[in-house]
Amino acid sequence: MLLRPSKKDYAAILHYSGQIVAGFGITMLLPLATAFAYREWNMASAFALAMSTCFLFWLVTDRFFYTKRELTWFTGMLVVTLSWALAVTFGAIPFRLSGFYASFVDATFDVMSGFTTTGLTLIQDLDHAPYSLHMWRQGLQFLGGQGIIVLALTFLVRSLRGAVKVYVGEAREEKLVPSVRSTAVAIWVVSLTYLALGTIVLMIINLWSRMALDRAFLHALWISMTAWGTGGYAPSSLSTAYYHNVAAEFVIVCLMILGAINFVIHQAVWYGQRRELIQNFELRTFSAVVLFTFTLTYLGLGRSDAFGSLASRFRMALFHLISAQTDTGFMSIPSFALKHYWGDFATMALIIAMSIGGLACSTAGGIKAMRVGLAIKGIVLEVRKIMSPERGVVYEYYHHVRQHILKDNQVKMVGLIALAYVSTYLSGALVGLVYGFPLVDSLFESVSATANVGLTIGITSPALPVFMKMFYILQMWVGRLEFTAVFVLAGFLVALARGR
Amino acid sequence: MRFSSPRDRILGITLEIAYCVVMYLALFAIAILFNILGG
Repeated sequence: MLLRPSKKDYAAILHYSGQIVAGFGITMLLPLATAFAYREWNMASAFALAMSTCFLFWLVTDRFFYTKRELTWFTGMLVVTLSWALAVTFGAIPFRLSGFYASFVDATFDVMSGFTTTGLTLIQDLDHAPYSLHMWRQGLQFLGGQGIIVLALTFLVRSLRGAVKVYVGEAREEKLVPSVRSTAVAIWVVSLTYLALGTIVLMIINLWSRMALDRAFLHALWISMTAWGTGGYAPSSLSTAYYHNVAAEFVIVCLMILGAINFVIHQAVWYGQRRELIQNFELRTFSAVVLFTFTLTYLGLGRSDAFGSLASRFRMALFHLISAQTDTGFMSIPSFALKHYWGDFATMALIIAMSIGGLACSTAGGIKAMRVGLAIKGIVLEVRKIMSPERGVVYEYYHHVRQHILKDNQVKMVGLIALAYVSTYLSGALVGLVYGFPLVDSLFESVSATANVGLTIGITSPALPVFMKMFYILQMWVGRLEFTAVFVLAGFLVALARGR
Repeated sequence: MRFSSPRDRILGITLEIAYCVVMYLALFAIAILFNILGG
């Protein structure tokens, strides 16, 4: 039997969603301030309107649905899905009013792409967009990397009863410290530290390249936001090719890798457990996967004959492979060059990298290195069980901050989530095929959307059919929330329909 | 919450950046290897 929420549950869902939406509204102060600083009055009014909508929603829910009721797992998951849906809708208001999007669906697509740290975009004439719009696009990805629930838990919702349920609902399975709120604060400390470091180094490089002071700062800040957030939005239609600078590419590669590392590992290393960088099972798996997918990509580029010298082939393979593996989505070549010069082998290598992705509890998406590693260990365990004496007890261990024993239900969950990801990858590819796109292109774009990557082979554009835009929005959403919260919403809708 | 000391934090950040550099060098070594092997 599926449970239907009671009236008190509805009140709790709306009350806490209202608080999270209000917190989201506060984040619009940054682009609003940018609009004032650069006298972009049209954008200032758009952000003011969107903020007012968020606060109005909060006032209404606080006035009519105030409650101290503790969240259950069920209502917690519904708070997450509802908060995300509302934040995406309200966040699209400034995009649509900016005049750089052809429709509200396009604006919603970009907000979902921003929040989920995907990076696919439907914006038109990006190179002439106002600074405040860039600040909002890039900021969305930085916030999305941490998670809007983490944002709310850190700065706003001090009295959320059952906070762990919404924290887990946003695909954050591990706590850095025992308290959920302290964990959220710790995530922000790590993120802001690397944001500051990245901004300083990239600003120096930009100034060295003779960029004006304010542009050097803003470009450094924006690229650091989306490199650390593994988002992939850039303030230029050329993406990172705009900078055409090896040093900048190296810094961006480092930020992407650091962004894809589990916050738990950051925390452990910062607290003196330095051997975690060598011993951690998930990081070892990630490193091995990167070595494997890079080899495939490098070999694939050799087959296409497009990049002759060692330096150009290495630079091309490294940047795009890391961008794909960390699920960031920066490109240093246009999408048509990826389609025509890379060849199917190198493109498939990128698809494999994107589908696996970075580490769990990081800003990256995809199936995650931890699940790949646990699946391999699960297979090894089964083989060892068969080859051992029948009375023998066989265990598999893995090191993640401390020593763990691999449990059967972990392997089962890994299988289920991986199956859900692969099914979604294939569904998106089928939709692409229905609209007449080639198989490899359809699969590439589908994996890019679901794993929240943002690399594009040229399918994603404002001319995309509306159904495909909606399908990609759904793929980005389920991929970011790692299915559970969205499945609970589907279960809730089924329960509503059945009347139980 | 209690944070790590500035020394620990700086050392941690340095080691994490060192991890990125090691990855970079390892990938470069693979590229050189395949160039030598003609791959």
